[in-house]
Amino acid sequence: MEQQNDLIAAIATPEAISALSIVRLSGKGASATVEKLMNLKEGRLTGRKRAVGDLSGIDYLVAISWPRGKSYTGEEMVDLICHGFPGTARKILEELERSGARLAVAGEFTRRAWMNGRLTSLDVLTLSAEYREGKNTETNSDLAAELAELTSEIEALIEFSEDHGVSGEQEIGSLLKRALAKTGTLTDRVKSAEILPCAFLMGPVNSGKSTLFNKLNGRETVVVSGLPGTTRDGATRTISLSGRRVEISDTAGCGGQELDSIALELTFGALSSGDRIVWMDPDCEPPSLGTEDKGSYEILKVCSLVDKRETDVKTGWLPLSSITEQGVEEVIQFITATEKGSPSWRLERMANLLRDAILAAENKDVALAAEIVAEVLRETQKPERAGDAVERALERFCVGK
Amino acid sequence: MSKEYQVVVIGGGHAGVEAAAASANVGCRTVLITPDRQKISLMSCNPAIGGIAKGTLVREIDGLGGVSAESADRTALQFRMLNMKKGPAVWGPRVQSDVAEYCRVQTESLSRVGVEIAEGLVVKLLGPSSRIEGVLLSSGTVIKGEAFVIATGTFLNGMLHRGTAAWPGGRRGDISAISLEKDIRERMFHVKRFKTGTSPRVVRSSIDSSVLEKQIFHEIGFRFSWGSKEAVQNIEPCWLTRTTARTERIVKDSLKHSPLYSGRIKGKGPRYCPSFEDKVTKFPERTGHPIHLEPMGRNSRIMYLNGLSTSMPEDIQDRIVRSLPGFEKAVISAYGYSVEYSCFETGEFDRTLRLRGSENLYVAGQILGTSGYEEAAATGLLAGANAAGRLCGKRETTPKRMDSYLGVMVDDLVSRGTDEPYRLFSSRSENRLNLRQDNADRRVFSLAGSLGTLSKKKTEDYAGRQNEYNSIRKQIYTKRAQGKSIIDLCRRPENTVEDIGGSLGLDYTDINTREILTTVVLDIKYEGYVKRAEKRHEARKRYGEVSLSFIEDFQLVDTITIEAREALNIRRPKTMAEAEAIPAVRQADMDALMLYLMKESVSRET
Ligand SMILES: Cc1cc2nc3c(=O)[nH]c(=O)nc-3n(C[C@H](O)[C@H](O)[C@H](O)COP(=O)(O)OP(=O)(O)OC[C@H]3O[C@@H](n4cnc5c(N)ncnc54)[C@H](O)[C@@H]3O)c2cc1C
Repeated sequence: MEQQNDLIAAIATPEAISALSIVRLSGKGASATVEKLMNLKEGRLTGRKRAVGDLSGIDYLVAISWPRGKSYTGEEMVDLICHGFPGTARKILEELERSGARLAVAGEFTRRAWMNGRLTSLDVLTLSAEYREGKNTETNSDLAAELAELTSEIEALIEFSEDHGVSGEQEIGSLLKRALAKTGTLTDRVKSAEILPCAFLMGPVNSGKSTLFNKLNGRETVVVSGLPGTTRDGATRTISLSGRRVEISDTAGCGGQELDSIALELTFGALSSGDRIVWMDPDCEPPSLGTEDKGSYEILKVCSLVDKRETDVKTGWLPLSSITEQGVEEVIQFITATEKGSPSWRLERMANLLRDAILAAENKDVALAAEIVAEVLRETQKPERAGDAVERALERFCVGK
Repeated sequence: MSKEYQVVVIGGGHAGVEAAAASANVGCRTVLITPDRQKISLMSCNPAIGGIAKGTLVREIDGLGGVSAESADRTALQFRMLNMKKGPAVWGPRVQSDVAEYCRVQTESLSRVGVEIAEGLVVKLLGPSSRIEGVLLSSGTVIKGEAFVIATGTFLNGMLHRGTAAWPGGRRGDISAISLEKDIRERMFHVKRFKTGTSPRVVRSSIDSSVLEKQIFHEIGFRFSWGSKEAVQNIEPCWLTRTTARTERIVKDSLKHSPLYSGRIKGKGPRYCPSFEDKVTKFPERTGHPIHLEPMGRNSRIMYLNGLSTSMPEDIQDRIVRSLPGFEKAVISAYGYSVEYSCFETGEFDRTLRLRGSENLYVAGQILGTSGYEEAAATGLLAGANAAGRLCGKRETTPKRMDSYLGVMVDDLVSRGTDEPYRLFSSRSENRLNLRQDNADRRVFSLAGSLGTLSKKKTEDYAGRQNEYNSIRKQIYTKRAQGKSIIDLCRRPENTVEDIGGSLGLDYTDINTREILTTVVLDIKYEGYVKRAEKRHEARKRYGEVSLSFIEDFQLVDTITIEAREALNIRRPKTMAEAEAIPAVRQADMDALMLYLMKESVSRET
């Protein structure tokens, strides 16, 4: 990975004629770089400051600086608010590049905010959902804040309510329910932003993969014909299924010929963890892989074209017909299942814990409820690793976010 | 004239009594020095023992072979289980006590275990601090010993305040230990000033109790001590009243007369046992603060006003009290006041409660910076047992944080310190579901073993309870009721201990059976949570063993915050424990660092 706090810059507003544009600069030396370009005294933009002036003869603008730890990215950061003529912002960006800044890639600012602990991965995902919807709503950090608040309510109730002759058990119950509702909303949002692992439709030629692919897509995108091998190159689409975003790949049929079986092994070898394979074969033959395969993908064995079949389906195989729709629902369920360890999986776990906490409080065990809430709180604060779901979401931010 | 003992305990308060008893139980010739034997274990403030976490601590004292739990049972006027609706882990057993009886019974217990009592005021420690040789009394008597426990409570250079008046004293009617404090400071021990206050007492016959709410609780039977045969009886009621808008106005208008607010008292007071002045100032919108009228003893003429701690001038206290419903003609028998005193700075003592600058000088109770009888008693027991244990060649023992509230308290006092009188709360523990009152004996049993404070009889009784525990546990795992296995019933949140007892056909009215059944059922219910809490604690504890020395550049650990990376690069910690102590490094960074180490060590092996 490139060094994390090197200086990056980007235009943070849409490139169109508007009153103002913002150029954002983040990383070590952000303040010093702008001070130089604006001929300001050294240290003029150290900390939370504002300066107005000319920048390299390009524009008369406002510079706002933040110190490390206090900015959006968590790094030293400067926003340059310039006039909104197209080209002005671009010229400033070029000037910054000449002074050593690198152009940011999509989502890089948010990534840094995440890396620096300013945002959690759940925040990134919810932000990404908002970004698509153009809305500004609650994030996971709000949930954490609410849970922290709830914890102090519970502790105060446990330690002091007897002294003060007050009771608040019902209140705790309704606060817990509110947290649960919030978790539910977050789960929905995260689910709609999360891109699930890829689902590959695989199997021998003419096993009905493209028909199913089109069915799932809801429109004709692949040329379907009865000729073996029509879909030689496969096709990948990100589609929305049961409210989840999932990438589906229709693959070339692989049967018989030697080249195909090599392709099959290569494909399996290239799968990443969590990927899903819908293996479709009307004859119920599992994929023949040369060596014992120990991949961490998940596989659903499907007996396709079942409407044309006369004998019973082998056990362990799902009967599927794209014509009668038999089995389609099960395939969708398989493809859209929550990925273990993913943010939405974690949120669902939190929701289950909160349900336990509510039950405990209802059964006069506030102390147990407190313990469970603490567990949920720890879950919201778990250290984040570069999860695939987050990586996929970051890529969808525009540059400058 | 000079006398010689093995262990010398200075101060006959709650800490001193347990310290002396523990030392005698360990087998040392012990003397307790205190000015007035009538006031041994006197409750300076409210006439009650126990409460949330504090009640659990009292049971730990009993499990450790202490004397206070039994005395509390024998002198109880009324029992109440606090927090009944908040879960068994935070139930808080509490008794109203007969104050004079408590003093008498505690003194009796001391004679029973063979502690000698010497009346006198210690004015000076003799010999070098590193090895104290004796103490000098104001009478000129010298008492020699091999180990010493100071437990002088609120008396070290105590100053009492009421209104504009201030006079030296450790408690109303008692003198201040001025010389001893001077000696301690001259020995270069660091002290700080804390303060605390108490409420006025009123004459019972001057109160119209017909307008008050009578409080007598008929709850399941309870006793603090496993040695007490019977449950505590409810003999005397308490009464509840509430402050009125007039009460609060009187206080607000008179704040300039309060030594707490006029700046006369410089010590730090407790946030959690606030004076009434504090309550009115901090919660100005609140009115109707509950005030409990508690008897000072059986048929006592005097009642204590719990919740009305104040050090206002006397005339204002009269007005405050008379503004309460039913108190229009109240006569105050003793006015409220506050006390400012010296206690040891954090860092002066270690986890055995020995002063770091000395080989044989221990401290216990209020002078550690704690507040409360229970806290004092428990630390007294630990200090006394360690002082005596060292003389018998035992290894010094420290209680564990995950096992007891005593452990939590000692660890907090030593590693975190306190800048106000330290009171126990259940939330101070990270293992709260396990630190319950019902299983206190089991939790401290191994500590009692290493301290050597538990008598043979008590050890045998404990073994008997363990047998019954195992038998009930086995029944739960093997029996069925109404076609369901009892273990499954036990794990369902809606089933109470009583329900399980019912399906096992056990006699829930028998106090012994009920207690043990409670422990079994709660152990099963909380098993998973307790295990996880312990695992988290273990991981944290092992930070000291995890070396970071092979990380040359923390910038490479890209899963932690930049701030933490920079701080780590500057401080260069050698272990995870050292890393944890750096303020910029948060718990999430610690977890990420741990993952990084795991990944790295795998790639270095292969
Ligand atoms: C005014 C007041 C208000 C309080 N308010 C609260 C409250 O709101 N909440 C709360 O939890 N606790 C309160 N307490 C504290 C509670 O009384 C103590 O926490 C508890 O008593 C401490 O026990 P101890 O054994 O450490 O000390 P103490 O009970 O104070 O006992 C100290 C003993 O040492 C003796 N002694 C002192 N100096 C010498 C000497 N030089 N030589 C020989 N003997 C000596 C004394 O005579 C006394 O017997 C209050 C105490 C006072 C005085």
